[in-house]
Parts: sequence; structure tokens; C-alpha cells
Amino acid sequence: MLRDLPDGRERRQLELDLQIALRPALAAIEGSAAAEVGETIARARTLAEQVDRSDCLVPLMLGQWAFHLVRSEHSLALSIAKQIEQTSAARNDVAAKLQGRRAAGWTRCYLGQLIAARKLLDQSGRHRTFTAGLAEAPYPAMLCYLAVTLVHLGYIDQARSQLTKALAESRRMQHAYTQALVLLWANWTAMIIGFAEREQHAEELRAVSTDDLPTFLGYGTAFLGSSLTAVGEAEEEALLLTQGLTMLRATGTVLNTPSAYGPCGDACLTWPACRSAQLPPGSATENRNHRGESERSPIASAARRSDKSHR
Amino acid sequence: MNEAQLRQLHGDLISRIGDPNGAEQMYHQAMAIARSQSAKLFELRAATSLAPLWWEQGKKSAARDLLKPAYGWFTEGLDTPILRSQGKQTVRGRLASLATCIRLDPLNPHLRVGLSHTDSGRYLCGEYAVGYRSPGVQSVSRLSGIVSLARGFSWATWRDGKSQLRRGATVARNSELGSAAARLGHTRKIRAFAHQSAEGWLERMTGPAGRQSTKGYLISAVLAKVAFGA
Repeated sequence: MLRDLPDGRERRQLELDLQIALRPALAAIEGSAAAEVGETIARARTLAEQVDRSDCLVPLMLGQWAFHLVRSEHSLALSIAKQIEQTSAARNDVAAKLQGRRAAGWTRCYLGQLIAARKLLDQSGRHRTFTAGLAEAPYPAMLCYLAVTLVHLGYIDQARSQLTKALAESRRMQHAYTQALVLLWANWTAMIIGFAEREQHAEELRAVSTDDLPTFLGYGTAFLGSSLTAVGEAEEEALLLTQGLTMLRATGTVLNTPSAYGPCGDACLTWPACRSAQLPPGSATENRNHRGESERSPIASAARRSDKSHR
Repeated sequence: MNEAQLRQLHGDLISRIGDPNGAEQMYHQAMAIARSQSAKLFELRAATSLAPLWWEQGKKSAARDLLKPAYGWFTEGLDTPILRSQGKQTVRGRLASLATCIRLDPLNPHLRVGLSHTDSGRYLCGEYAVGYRSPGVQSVSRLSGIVSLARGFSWATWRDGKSQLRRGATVARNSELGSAAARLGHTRKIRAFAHQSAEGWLERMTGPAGRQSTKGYLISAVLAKVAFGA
């Protein structure tokens, strides 16, 4: 459709709208950290600057935040989350501001700043409506992020309560992406605190994800593998872990892979098949800068430029 | 947020391949990171990995002092498996079980046998290797089922398939029953289960994956006599 249009402002505006709509769909299908997603965001940002559409910035930045976060480029992700909050505050957009706060809170959790993370996530808790730029529903996602933060801090009952709410909310919504996200974290939490339902969560995650959500299918497969450790099925465990990690690797995902590598390392000691699993791109084999961010990231340089301009 | 967890896992892994000093270093790093993040759960996890190492090295009071405050901080989630098992293991179970470990083979100082407390609250009996493991020792250790403190028996290391795994599970049950009987003071049952367990081990030692029958039998026999008092 775009090919038939002559180059000009109108064509660029139309392309921008299409790229913005395409990003969450691509993120769901290919994975939030897939190279295509990064290229889509970079192209959309260029177009937004060319046609002076500042209203598109927040959804794009949310996509950019998710892209960097899933690639485990946490410092970049945090700087983008801060930008979202600042831009939204300047535009008096309360929903987007809370999304920025939620993004900052979750990123701080990954950075190990758990108390700050809890505070930010608590503050973003009331926001329930969808915002363009992300594939998941914000409220159940926030409940999961808060639960994970609370587990780390040692508040296990509170974390379980938040997760129960998140599971109920995501099932009520019947939104596959959100449900998969919640199940991922329910699974992770069950693994950390040793609950038997982790296998059930992993199976459910795989069922919800099918082939349409490859990142979650990868997580589900890897987590199912690690849950088999408890019943002594090291061979199957190793195979599923390897399979899951391969799926995650194909989507460019680095985030949370240590959770799968832990049991995988354990399985490697007892089952040699697991030793064929390689590190995913971006984890250790890729060149990283002093902040642990990938130098190969297609939009990393754009984000850095943007980061500087906001300082 | 994964860093403390990863250091602890790293420590667990290198501990299993026989580098207690390296493992201790990893656990210290894990605890330091967890403390700096206020990540109490991961501080406790690292502490519960380090304490048995110290216990084995004879630093018993240090091990207790390490675990008590880490566990004592928790005011909620005490019914969850991780804290329930940590609690039991902290005070008596885990450390007490390690205290019963016996060094078996004078020619192979890396191999030990003992009663181990699992997070299911039961005692398991089996031999496990510590320190460097040669392929032969590793094989014996695998065939006999490593008693992993937190994970129970790990039979599935055996490559020959599920039939052997099932046989392994039977042996595990017998040794477990023997251990349970030992706890309850049922001498006859101890003998019966320990004998079955020893027979099972012997049978597996003569299988295609192992050529360690003599050693396996020796271990089983000594286990039956010493560990169970049979």
C-alpha cells in the first residue's frame, strides 16, 4: 500500500501510524527483543521526528523500553522509563505517566534497587487502562512486578496475594499476552519459593502461548524443564531446558534466562545433552559496554542520543 | 536482581564438582549482593548453601550463627516450602544430617555416605562424592544416586533409560525406608531395608553403565553395617 504512494508528509504520517500499530503485534509474535521490533521502533522514531508528531513519542518509548528490558539492557531501559514519565508529565497525560513509573519500577527491580522498585510500583498501582505501545494489560502486569519485588524482599505472603489477584484478573480478561505474562511470573515465583504448582503453571503457560507467543512458549518450555528436576527427570529436564532456551534465543530474549540457566547448569553436571546449549546472543558472547548494554542493539545509539538530550 | 541467585547457583555447582573454597567465595558474594539489595530471600538461600560447607569444615557455631539471623528475619511465608525446609534444616535437620556423614573408602577420600535430610522432611540415605571426582568415582556416585539435600535423589543421570531409573527408584525407596526405620529405632526393619537397598545397589553396579561392582558392594555393605547399625 505504501509503495504506491508518492514520498511526502502524508505518506510518512501513514507509515508512522502503521509502524506504531505494527510494533506491539510484532513484539507478541516475534518477541519484544526481536531485531524486527527494534528496526520498527527506530524507523517510527525517525518518521515521528520528520513529521513532528510528538504525540507518538510515548507509545514508541514504551516499546523501546520493553525492547531494551527484554534484551537485559537495563540502564538504557531505565533512562527511557524516566523519559516517558517526564514527557507524559509535560503533556499532562496521567495514564502515560503512571506507565512510565511502572516501567521505571520494574527496571529498578532488575537493577536490584528493590526498595525503590516497590515504591514506584505501588504508586503506579491504580492505573488499569491499556496504553498504546505495550502488548500487555498494565494492571495485572504491575501486580506481577510488585509480587516479584516483594518475593525478593522476603515478603512472601504479600507477593502471593498480589499474584493471586494478577492471575484472577488476567483470566477474567482472557487476554492471551497478559495471561502468559502473569503465568510466567507465577511460575518463576513458585520456582523460587518451592511451590509444587510450578509444573502446572508451566503447562498452562505453554498452552496459552502456543506458537503465537514464541517468547512465552520458550519460557514455558524452559520452566517446565526445570520443574522436572523435583521429580528426578534430569534427561527430560535437560532436553526441555535446551529447547526452551533455543526458542528464547531465536527471539533475541536475554531477560530472565538466568532462571533457566540455573537448573540447566545443574542438569549439565548430570546429563551431558544439556551441555550443547549455548549462551543466547546478548548474554555473554556479545560485546557489551560498561553498563552491560549490547553495542549491537539497533536502537541503542538512538536511545543514547535521546538520553543525552534529556539531561 | 538475578545476580545473587546466580552466584549462589554458581557456588552450588562448583561445590558439586569439588571446589569448596570457590563455592564459599561465591556464597559470600551472593550474600553481599543480596544484602546490598535488601533481597532477604536470596540472602537466606546463599546462607543455607554456605552453612553446610562450614559445618563440614568444623565451623559449627559459625554455621549456626550464619543461619539463625537469616532465617529469623522472616515473619511471613513460613508455611512455604522454601522457608519450612530452611527452618527445619537450620535448627536441626540439615546440619544434624550432615553430622552423620561417614567417610567410607580410605582409598577414595572423596566418597562419603550419610543420612541426609530433605525438604520433604524425610531422611534419605546414600553415598555422595565430595571434592574432586574421578570418572570411576563419579560413576559410582551416579549409580548410587546422589543425595542432594534440597532435591532428593537424582537417579536420572543414568543414561540407560527409564527401566533403570525405575530400578533406581526402588532402591531409593528401600534406603529411604531404612532411613526412616532408623529414625524410629526399628532395628529389624532397618536391616531388611538396608539389605534390599544394598542388593539393589549391587545389582545396578553390575549393569552396563558401571564396572564398579566391588566398590559398590563394599559401599553397600559398609553402609548397611555402619550407617544403619545393621
